[in-house]
Amino acid sequence: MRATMILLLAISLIAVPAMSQTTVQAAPRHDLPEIQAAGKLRHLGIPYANFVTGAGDGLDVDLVRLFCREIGVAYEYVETDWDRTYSDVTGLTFKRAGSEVTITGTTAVRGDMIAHGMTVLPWRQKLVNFAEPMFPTQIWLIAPATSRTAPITPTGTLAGDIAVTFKLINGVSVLAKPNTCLDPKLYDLAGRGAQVVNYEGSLNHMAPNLLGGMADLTILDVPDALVALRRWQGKIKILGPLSEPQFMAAAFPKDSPKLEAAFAEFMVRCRADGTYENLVRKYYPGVWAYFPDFFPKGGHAQ
Amino acid sequence: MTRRPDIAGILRRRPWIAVVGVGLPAVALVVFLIQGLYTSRQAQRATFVRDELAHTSALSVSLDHFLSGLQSDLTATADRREVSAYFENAALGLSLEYGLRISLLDLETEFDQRLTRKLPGGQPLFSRLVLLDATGDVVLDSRDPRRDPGAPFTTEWTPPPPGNDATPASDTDYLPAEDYLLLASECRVLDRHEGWLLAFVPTATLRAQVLGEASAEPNLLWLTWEEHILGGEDLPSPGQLPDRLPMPGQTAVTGDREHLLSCVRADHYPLTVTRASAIDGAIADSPHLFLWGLVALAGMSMALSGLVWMGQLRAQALSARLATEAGHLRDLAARQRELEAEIERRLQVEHDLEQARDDAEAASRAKSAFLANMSHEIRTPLNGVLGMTELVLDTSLDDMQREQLEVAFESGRSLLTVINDILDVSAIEAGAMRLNPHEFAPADELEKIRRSLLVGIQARGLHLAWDVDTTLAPMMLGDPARIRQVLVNILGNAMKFTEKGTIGLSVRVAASDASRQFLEFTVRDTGIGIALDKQDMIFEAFRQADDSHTRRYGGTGLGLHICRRLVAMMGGQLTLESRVGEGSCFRFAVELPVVQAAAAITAASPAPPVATTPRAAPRRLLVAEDNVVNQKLVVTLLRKWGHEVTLTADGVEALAALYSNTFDGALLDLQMPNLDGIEVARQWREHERATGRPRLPLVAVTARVLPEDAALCAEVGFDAHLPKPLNSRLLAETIEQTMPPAAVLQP
Repeated sequence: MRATMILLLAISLIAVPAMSQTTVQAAPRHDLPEIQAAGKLRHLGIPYANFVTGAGDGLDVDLVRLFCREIGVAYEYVETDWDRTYSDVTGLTFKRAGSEVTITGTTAVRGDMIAHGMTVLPWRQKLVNFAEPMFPTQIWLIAPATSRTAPITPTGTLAGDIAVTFKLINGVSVLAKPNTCLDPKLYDLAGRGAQVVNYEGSLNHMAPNLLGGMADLTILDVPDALVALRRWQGKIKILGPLSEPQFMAAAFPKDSPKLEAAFAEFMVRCRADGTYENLVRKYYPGVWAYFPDFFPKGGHAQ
Repeated sequence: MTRRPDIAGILRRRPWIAVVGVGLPAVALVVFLIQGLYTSRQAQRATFVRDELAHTSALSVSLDHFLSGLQSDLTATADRREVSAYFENAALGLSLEYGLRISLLDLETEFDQRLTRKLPGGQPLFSRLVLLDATGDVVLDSRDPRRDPGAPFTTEWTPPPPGNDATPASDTDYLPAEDYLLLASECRVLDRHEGWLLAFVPTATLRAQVLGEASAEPNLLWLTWEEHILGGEDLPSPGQLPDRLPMPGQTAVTGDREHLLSCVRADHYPLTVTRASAIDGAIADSPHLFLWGLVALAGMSMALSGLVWMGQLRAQALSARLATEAGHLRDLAARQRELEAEIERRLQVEHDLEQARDDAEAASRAKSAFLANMSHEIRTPLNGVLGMTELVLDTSLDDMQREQLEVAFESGRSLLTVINDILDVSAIEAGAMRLNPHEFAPADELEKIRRSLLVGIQARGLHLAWDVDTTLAPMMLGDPARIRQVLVNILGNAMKFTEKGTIGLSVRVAASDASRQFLEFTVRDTGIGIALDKQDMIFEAFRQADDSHTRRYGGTGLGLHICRRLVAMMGGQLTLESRVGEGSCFRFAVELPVVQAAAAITAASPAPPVATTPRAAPRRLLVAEDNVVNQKLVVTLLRKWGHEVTLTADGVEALAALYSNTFDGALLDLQMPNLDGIEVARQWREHERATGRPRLPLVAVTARVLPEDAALCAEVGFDAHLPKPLNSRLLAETIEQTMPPAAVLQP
């Protein structure tokens, strides 16, 4: 009897705020005309590196603000997390097994577009449409400065560097974060001998947790590693690369073609007039050194 | 009759007398004039030489200061984070491809900023910056920034021996082949010599600096570094230069006697300044001095002309100064326009930010209002149930009645725990849970937890192992209530599932620097343990490791789920290691900023001792409460403890009672008709400020228990915030702690 009462009370407290979500039958369209009629665009973001700083700015925040100004609507920031962001923008719940995605139901739409340093991955492309690549990245292996593991000596080729770096993870614990670009399965860390430690907190806290002893090594993408290298100067070291170059981009629901097209036109103008280059220089002044092909010196970002 | 001498006749007879009488005074006058003029000329010459040396000395001091400033600037650059970052990362073995190039790019940006600095005339302060490593190889050369580190430094310069803490090494040298002055500053990281930062100062910059001070003709000024004339052979010749420039501190006259050369050496550098000043015949050693006597009148005219000439010179100088001031005024006006434009732009940005913030706050307020109402509506009747049950328990009852009421009381408290957990889960799921970070003393908070657990642990025959790192900062910034909630929950579970042995808490500083500490909390027990396949399950909402646990030990299975989410909000991760039959170990780590000692003094002051005896001393208390059941409960409790109670049913009545009576303290419900408790507190504090009345202790007694409610109470001037359902012991403690008794009511 007591357990039944507890269950009923729990259901009443949790179900009421969620009622509006479970009764949604299909996600209403929220393409450009609907957004302009509503007068605001909801930007789904997660505090991550310098894309969304959490202090009201960041590369992606500034960019979406400019986009809102161009299409004549107010800007609204909606915070989400890495597990929920696709459902928040598509209104669909889903299950993922490897690169396979199965739609399981519907939920409330909380945002109109995603922009928070999201890496383009095949399974994500089954849920959302990505804009043209906006930012390059790569996965690096990081160790505390006190670690006995030494950085690799570059071999002259990226494939060679990756092979040498993978040898370093054999038999040691490596911090990773499922369902993000740092998902251990994307790089088969366990299959290559690493003891994977799955991390559930914010991506921004992986470096301090590494220093706190949660694992021997961690993987980070380049933008986050550049931020961590400055913040934890002298306390962490970069060992080498674990992936080929990847790309980050904003993402849109597949049924918002007009919004996607408007953003594509906006990005073409931003790149042509130097606006995008100035924003990248503001938030990632060092990225030119690592991706000279994507960001040619003195030229406009691709 | 006496005959008067005939002077005219005498002079006619002895004409030499006339010659001597007139000529000697004339000759004496001429000699006197010549001697006077000669003495005057000597004095004028000495003054001229002294003035010229003083002028040249001033230029030398100015140049000395200028070079010292450049050296200080270079030393500051060598101490920059960008320099230490490169050497630290290089020492860690980072390769250029993976990490080290970012340090080089930061250095290049720093160099670029330094190289853009110029004199008002456009001459750069530094024309080139070079960073050398400890072996003397080039790390970064601003002349070729894209070149990878490791090339040898080819310029002819030998590094001096590295310095030490007391005397940091620095050096200055002149490179005649390239006509640069080279400044060097040692780079040290963690008290280790790492290399040298070199700056090239063009001699043209030094000359421009001096010429700007002297307003002199370029070809009448020479700078020399030891034996070298800076500027080399391109310097225009002033004409009949002596074979050697004068020694420092001395003067010389050029061969054509048209210029006076004055030379002074800088105090801190082997650098001399030599100027040539036109004499204009003013102090020439003329062989025809006697002509001065003949041109005395002409001299008067020349003196007058000189006065007019000096007046003209002063007028010209004044005009030049006025022109310079006008230029400055134009620059200031332009700068003011730029500042006004910048202010306008920032106001627009602030407006946009405020709009975005208002939108976000509106959504947040809607979520918070739902949770606050739900909390209030459940807690208010539960307050009546628990309070009244407690009151009845305090009367004479037979054993069966007491046992039944104790069951009802414990059931109510269990329900309260469940509601608290469910409200926390609801807040987390709705995204309404917020941390409330503020300064707190971690050691004090941990001690409170230890004391609260000690009785229960000893009653169960268990041993408590308590280990707190002594390097824990005295004051930190965080949410102590949430940290306490996590620790109490985990320690409570440990007590629940441990029948014998030890329960322990360890707090360790895993990493730290001056501004933050990374704290690792570990809770161990020797209880029943958790099977490996159940360890993930216990962190899920409404789940326990085994349904039999629910039947045997009770609980909703929400506690660890909430703990894990709270730890994640603080940036950490709650993990578990456990073996069946051996016990469990829960661990999490959070990073907290350290509050510096000066800021922590006030917060760290010891709290006044708390008297917990309900009957310690009677007070005159005002109670404002609209719910009839709660009125009865609070009034009965307070009167039972001997307090004199005035009851009001809403905020307007409460305020009226406060204005017309004297109380030792007031207990105010927050949610009341007509005027709520928040507004009562706000208006009463305003009244106290306006009238100078002594501060009355105010305590909020409310079912609004969310963190933002407590924060709002503190903001409007409440001294304490008590949640409903009321804990009678906590109420008694709060009254004792916050409300001093009145002397007239002392028994």
